[in-house]
Amino acid sequence: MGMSSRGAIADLGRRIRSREVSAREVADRSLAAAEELNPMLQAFVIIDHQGARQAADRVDRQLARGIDPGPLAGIPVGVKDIVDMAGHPTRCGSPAYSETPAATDAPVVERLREAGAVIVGKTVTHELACGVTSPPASNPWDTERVPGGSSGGSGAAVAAGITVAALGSDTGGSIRIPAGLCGTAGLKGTYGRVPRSGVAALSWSLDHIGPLAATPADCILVQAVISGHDPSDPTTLTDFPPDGYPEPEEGLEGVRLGVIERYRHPLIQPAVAEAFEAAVRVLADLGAEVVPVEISELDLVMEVEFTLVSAEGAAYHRDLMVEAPHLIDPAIRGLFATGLMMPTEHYLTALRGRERIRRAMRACFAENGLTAVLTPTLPAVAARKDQDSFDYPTAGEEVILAYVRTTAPANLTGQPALSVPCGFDPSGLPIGLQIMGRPLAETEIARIGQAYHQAANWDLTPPISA
Amino acid sequence: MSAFQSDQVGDMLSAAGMDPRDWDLAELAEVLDAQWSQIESVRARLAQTDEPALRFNPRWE
Repeated sequence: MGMSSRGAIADLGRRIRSREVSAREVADRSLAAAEELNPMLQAFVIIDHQGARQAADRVDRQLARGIDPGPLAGIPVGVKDIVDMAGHPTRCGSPAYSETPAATDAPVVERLREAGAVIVGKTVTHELACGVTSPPASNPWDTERVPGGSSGGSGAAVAAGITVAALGSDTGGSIRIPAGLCGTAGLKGTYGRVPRSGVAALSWSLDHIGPLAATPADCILVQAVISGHDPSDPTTLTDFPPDGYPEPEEGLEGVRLGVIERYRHPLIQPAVAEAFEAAVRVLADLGAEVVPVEISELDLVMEVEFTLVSAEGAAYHRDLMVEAPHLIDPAIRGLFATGLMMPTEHYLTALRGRERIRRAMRACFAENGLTAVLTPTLPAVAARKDQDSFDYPTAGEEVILAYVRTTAPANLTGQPALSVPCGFDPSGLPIGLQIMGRPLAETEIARIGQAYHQAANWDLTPPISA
Repeated sequence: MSAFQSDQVGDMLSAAGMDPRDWDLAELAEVLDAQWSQIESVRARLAQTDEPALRFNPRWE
């Protein structure tokens, strides 16, 4: 792209505000990169030239008149294709969805526009946001491999530098999985922080909307724009602290981090384990106190997660399941079918298990005086597109289970969780570090993540990039 | 061998408003087996005092 859009939002925003570069130039470069790289990456389902240029021109006109266009002035972003954008269909990665354009913007899109963001296009999602591979999207580090999912197009677009940030959704890890596999940061905030109206649901009580971006600080800037109560989504919280920008010069003295032991071994690729342990050492060197912790209730995570998703997903998609089940991928269809046939007692048992997990997490933080807990974002790097399972030194694990096992706990507890790149395996595939904080402590985990990001200083430019 | 017979799965689908002819009943029986055994393992870990949060609240206060 010549001028890179990989820089932090604050840096690019400053250049646009000072009119060193126009928003229109930035948008044109982002659009050109999208057109050039999309045949390889399949990150976008829609590239919106007209809308992006209009938004960029508006920013430039405002700046020319001395008007502040907003905190994301001229920043190119992508929006996952489960989120309504007026004038474009919301296809949800499914042939069952209508081509009829959405009449209105989802509140999160409205907020992006009001903040001056330039929406470059809609990004590929795994079908119905229910999966971890996002076909046909590819990973910019190796196009034979998956970008993760379900927000795989968003991960690929940001990692390749096509957009500076993108919106994803996260029901069991769908922001953090592509962030981890594509080498970007990704933030799933506290449940209820970001309104979900105008966004297709997978599982109402587990769904979150959040950003993927190059750095934790960038994620916080986007989240600050999209978060806040909205009357159209009664689950959004009121009365919570704003997202503060993590000050880069701050160290980590006074920060106490728990490392959840079960995710250190044995179900983990050796290179991922090495990168994770090295990242923990970097955080300790920055002044954090690190302690091992264990939460036995995490045994229940997968059973509870999949029961809730199958029941809630089935309820949301019931009409489609009854009228045209053949239009849904067989694995997703099977999951939803069990949800429709599920006894009420099963759903309530899963809710009871969820509450048990949530209380155990809270107790772990309280008893150990923790600021955050750490895990590898995922136990394995990006899978080949034809790969069904991983072979660890002592056991194997299906790809879908591997990618959800470490991320789903934060969906069940509702606490914020951030993925930040923490190295590479020997073949050059990115590895992620997950930082999970207390409810509404997004700024705290972003500060930890940003401190790590700056100390580690990884080169995160993939072979396929703008 | 599934704990669910095909005709039983078909009846369950019908009761849920779906057409059994749209489905591979044997395959679905296996998925049901897995899910029902999963929830059994959750139930085994719960105490009578574990109540569901019917309206999820993420706050810890």
